[in-house]
Amino acid sequence: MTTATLPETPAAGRGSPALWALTALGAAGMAATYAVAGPERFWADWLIGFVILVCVALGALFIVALQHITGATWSVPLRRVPERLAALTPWIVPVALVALLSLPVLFSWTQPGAAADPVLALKTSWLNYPFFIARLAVCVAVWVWSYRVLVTGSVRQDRTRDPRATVTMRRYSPVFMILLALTLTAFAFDWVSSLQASWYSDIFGVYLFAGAVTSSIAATALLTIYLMRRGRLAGVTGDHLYNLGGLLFGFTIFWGYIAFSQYLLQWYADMPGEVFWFRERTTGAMAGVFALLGIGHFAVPFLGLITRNSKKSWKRLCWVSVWVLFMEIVDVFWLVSPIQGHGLHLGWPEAAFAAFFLAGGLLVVTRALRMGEDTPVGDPFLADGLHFHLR
Amino acid sequence: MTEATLPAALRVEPLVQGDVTLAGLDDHIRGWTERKPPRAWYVAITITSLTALMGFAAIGYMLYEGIGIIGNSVPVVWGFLIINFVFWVGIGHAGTLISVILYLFRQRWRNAISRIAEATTVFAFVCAMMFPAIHVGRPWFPYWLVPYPNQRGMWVDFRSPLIWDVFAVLTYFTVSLLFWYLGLVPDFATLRATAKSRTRRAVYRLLSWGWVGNARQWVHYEKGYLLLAGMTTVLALSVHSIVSMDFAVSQLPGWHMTIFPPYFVVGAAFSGFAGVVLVFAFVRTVMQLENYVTMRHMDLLNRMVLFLACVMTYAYLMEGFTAWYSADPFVKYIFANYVFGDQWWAGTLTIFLNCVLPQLLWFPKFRRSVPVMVTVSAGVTVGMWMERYTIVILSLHRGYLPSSWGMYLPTRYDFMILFGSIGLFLTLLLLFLRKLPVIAAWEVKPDIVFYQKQSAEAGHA
Repeated sequence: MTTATLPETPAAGRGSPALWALTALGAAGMAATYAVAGPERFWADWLIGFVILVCVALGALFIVALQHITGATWSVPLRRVPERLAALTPWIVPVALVALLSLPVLFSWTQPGAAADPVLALKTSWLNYPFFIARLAVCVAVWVWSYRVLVTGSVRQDRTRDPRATVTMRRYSPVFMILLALTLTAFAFDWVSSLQASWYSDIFGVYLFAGAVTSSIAATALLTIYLMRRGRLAGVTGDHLYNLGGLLFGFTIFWGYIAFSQYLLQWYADMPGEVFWFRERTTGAMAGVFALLGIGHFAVPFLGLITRNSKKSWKRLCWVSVWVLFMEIVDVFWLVSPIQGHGLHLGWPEAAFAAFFLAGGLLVVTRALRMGEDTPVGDPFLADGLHFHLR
Repeated sequence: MTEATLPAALRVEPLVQGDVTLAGLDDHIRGWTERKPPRAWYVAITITSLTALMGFAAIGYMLYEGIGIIGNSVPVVWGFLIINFVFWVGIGHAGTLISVILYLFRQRWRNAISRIAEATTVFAFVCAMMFPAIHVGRPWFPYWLVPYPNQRGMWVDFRSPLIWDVFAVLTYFTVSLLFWYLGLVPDFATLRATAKSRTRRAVYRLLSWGWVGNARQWVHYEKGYLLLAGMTTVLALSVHSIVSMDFAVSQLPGWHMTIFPPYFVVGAAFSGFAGVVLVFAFVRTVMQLENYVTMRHMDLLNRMVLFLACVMTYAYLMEGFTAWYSADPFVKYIFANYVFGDQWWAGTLTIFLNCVLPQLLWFPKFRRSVPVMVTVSAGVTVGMWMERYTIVILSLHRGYLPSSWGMYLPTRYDFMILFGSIGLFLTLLLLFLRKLPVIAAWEVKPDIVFYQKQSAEAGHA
């Protein structure tokens, strides 16, 4: 494939002024949201941004750890991309701290009537302020620590060229996977499911995980293509993209599978204690979003990437990835937004939040593009990865 | 960086070892199909086929006398027969996962073990399919499950997961059989070229469909293999998901869990991998396959067992947590009953064998120790059977009302049928080991060439 070298954007390090402007504009819109549309709308939108941030950052860490745990060599030249994407992880701390203020506004178990509710009353030993905040603290601590081990360690290896760093990261990866499974599940149950605390679905942690990994692979693919097109990933070819596309395709199916089975089982059993959750998300104004999710989060990327050539083509992979990321936003919107009651809560406030989180996230990621070399030059398997060719 | 300067933990062992050659592999595989088997084989197959016969006798007696002779009762209307069905479908997932999914992930270590893994899939499904057929209340009408033209004026209920099951299991069995057979074709051609007896040559000629192994055939072949692999992967996910829906679409506490589909698939793969470890622990020494199925293969298989054990642990944790979190007294009761009820040993044993015991495999030493891996895998096989026992029996034996509480006790016929199915499986496996190429030679040969090249380079250096 051609890698026409494009000029380096002048402000690649500091972040482009346009991104700063967009972030500021978004922040202004957010303030206006609080004042005009009310705190509930504000906090629901903040929560959507928070959940997506966690999903993309942890999905990126998952991709990194997955490569270590499997001992994959083809992906070594690409590994710096999800590592840089994972630079979003430390930013979870401030966003989470702000999100704590949403607890009294949004969550059903914090409402004054909760103690009188027979179902919620039984859950108070799990859903109470101290324990809830403690769980969040543990989760965030685990994530930031894992980021330090997996990413900071890898960037340091650029200088030291010490293969023992690879051993350390490979040893830590299984531990990380276990911690990720527990913390991401706790996060999903706490921050999304417990919005309506009487509802439960034991696959919900996996549901959020599937979306997180799918969107992170999409983000990784986009960033890889961006760097490739600027000639910064010499040696990375369509064959590497093919593998990324294959992973995206596979996790798209996985998300579709989890989402469908969760829906099917609750719809089929039709038990009032759980089906109300889906009813709020599949009827009225949300019916369209639900349909969009089914088609857009599954069918579009599935058909878009099904052929061999489509996975190798950077153009195809590029638009599918953009679409998948958009669908992750739709997915989290679909999960969170209906707690505000009937109707589609979509308008300028959501645009402002999207501008803030997207532009802010891009600022973090563009800054991270200066972190270490473009490929992990200290990794002993880099050469193997660069020699990777499909049969 | 050269291999020698790498830390020991990062070095990769070759996939074959010792003095292996292309011709040597062919001779080795052919040897087993041409020679008279050792005496132990006759002893083994006598035992297994007699066990199978005992199972069939029990089934025959059950059909004659009625379903009352087995332990099924009200409220436990699903007994051993359904447990065995789910168990065997589970064992049957190994072939696909090892052979197909690892193939899609281009894991070359699957090449040497894929053939036997696929064989276990096919045989396990033979055992599995027997059970729904003998479990239907009127065993003379099993074809009512199959949608056929409507002349009889009755139509199956497409909203019933039992019907989805018929489709899922039959499709998966057909495709697994085709996939297994497709892989065998080039090896049949090799056997055809060298078979000593005329009959054998004729049979292999028929089975190899005129395969000559020219470039054109290989191009089509590999494309077909890849496409079939892709389709089989989706089927593998679907089949146990649908088996899980037999339970999960109901409203029964303990069965209605949204985690069931992926949890059943993972459990199936788990028991399947354990089954394959068990088979290889014996076959690789008895049939002297150590140079092709090395300790590295066993190590990797055991890593898969460990990984799946961790996922199972997650699933159990989620079930336990959600049972509590649901705040539903019936769900809470059923799950507590799994580990604290009258048959507390069933749930406890399940957790111990599936979650605790496999943690031994974190240690590299144990992943390469045959006694440990046999213990763990045998434990997992029993544990996964116990898991289905827990799900089927313990969820059913306590109804919503005390009047629908009962106790389940299997009879000797239940055990005869269970052991009979194991006998049937092992008999089929022994016949396979005797008469068909146990290693996919055409897939392992590139690894041998690669190994020879590497050894030659190392020799020169």
